[in-house]
Parts: sequence; structure tokens; C-alpha cells
Amino acid sequence: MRKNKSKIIISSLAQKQLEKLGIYISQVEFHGEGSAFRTQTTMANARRSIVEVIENGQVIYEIITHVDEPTAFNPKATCPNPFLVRATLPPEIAEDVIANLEHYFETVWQKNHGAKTARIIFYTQNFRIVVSHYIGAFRSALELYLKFKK
Amino acid sequence: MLGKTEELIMMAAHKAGPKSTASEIYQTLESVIGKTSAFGAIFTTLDRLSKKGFLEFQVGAVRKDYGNKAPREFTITGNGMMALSESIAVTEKMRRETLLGGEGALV
Repeated sequence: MRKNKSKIIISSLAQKQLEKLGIYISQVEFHGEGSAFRTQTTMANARRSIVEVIENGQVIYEIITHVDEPTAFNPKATCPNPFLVRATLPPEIAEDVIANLEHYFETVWQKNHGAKTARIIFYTQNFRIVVSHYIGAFRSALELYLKFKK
Repeated sequence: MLGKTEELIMMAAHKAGPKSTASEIYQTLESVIGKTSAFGAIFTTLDRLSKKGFLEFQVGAVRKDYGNKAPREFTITGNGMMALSESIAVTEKMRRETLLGGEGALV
């Protein structure tokens, strides 16, 4: 979607500038045999048009580079799916855990370790949270049982 | 009586201020003492402290930096502050008695 939009912008920009340049060049050719002043004016216009084309080229280049790196715009696009937490923990806890994991993934892990390692850490922590939650629940139940048994 | 991890997390929660999220508490902990226990471990400890009544939490507002989700916001309770002070006092007393020239001290 984004790529298509950028392509449209690029093609319309390029088309406009090329049309302008074509007009000036034809005017130079037309006035070539006419007065020297007219020829000079149209040639100056053509030169200005070329400069505009180059300037727009820079804009187009920036658009292209951004299109090639979608993560530069939206780091959340790379955030892994916390399916394990969502599937195994109670919804109210899962919501909190996912929110915190996503926040930490973007602000710390991705910055400090890079995208690939950050994903590994993310999945490892997902697993760890689930395991420690159920171990904690088991321990609490055991403590309660032993308390009542006494 | 608080465990060591619980004590550290209570102190971090105190430094992070009221209504701080798990991630903020962990960030505070990491910024103060460097590499510590894993991020995943903090949730169990926070839940345990909440069950003991040392921390209270409420589900806050939806936050953009948390992926448009509402994380839980933790605040230390009065009981929590008392337990923390008591725990620190006990550690300090042990340190004085054993390391700093008390009866049977190591130094």
C-alpha cells in the first residue's frame, strides 16, 4: 500500500518535471533561429527546470530509501507475536505482560542488541514468564495445602 | 519478611514512583544495580508482593508507547513501606553484628 502510494508520487513528480523540460527544450529549438534574447530566456528556464529535476531526484531518493526500510518508520512492525503468553496466561495478566514486553522490546532490547537478538530475548522471556507464573501458582497452592494440613 | 529480590524490587518501585509499570520498575532496577535478574522474573515477584499487600495495582489508561494497551500501575502501600523498612533494618543489623565489629564479627 505504502509502496504503491510512493510510486504514484514519484511518477507524478517525474512526469511533471519531464513535461516542463520538454516544453523548454522545444521552445529553445523553436526560438533557435529567432531573437537571441528569447533563446537565452528559454534556455535559462530549461536550466532551472533541470535543477528542479535534480532537487526532486533527491526527494524521490529519500522516498525510495524509506520504502525499502519500513522498520525505520514503524519499529512495531518487527515486534514478535506473544502468542505463548496470550494462549497460556489469564487475560488480565497476559494483557499487562504483553504491554510491558512490547514496551521493553522497543525501548531496550532492540536498541541494545539489534532486531534478531531482541526477538530471541523476547521469546525467551515469554517462555520464562509463563513457566514462572505456573511454578508460582503451584507453590502457592502447595503452601496453602500444607497450612491446612497442619 | 521480604526476600532479597522482593526487597530490591520494592526499592526500585519506590524510586520509580507511584503508578509505575513493571517495565519502569525493571528499568529503574537495571539502571541502579546493572545486570540483574531476568525481565520475566519481575512479574512473579510483583504478583507475590501484591498478594501480600505490599504493593497495590490498578489497570491504568491505554498508553501509546505500550502498544495501545493498558499496563498495570503499581504503587507501594503503607504496609509495604513498613515491611521494606523492617527488612532493611534487619539487614543493617546483621551487617553491623557480623561484619562491622559486633560480637563475633568477621572484621
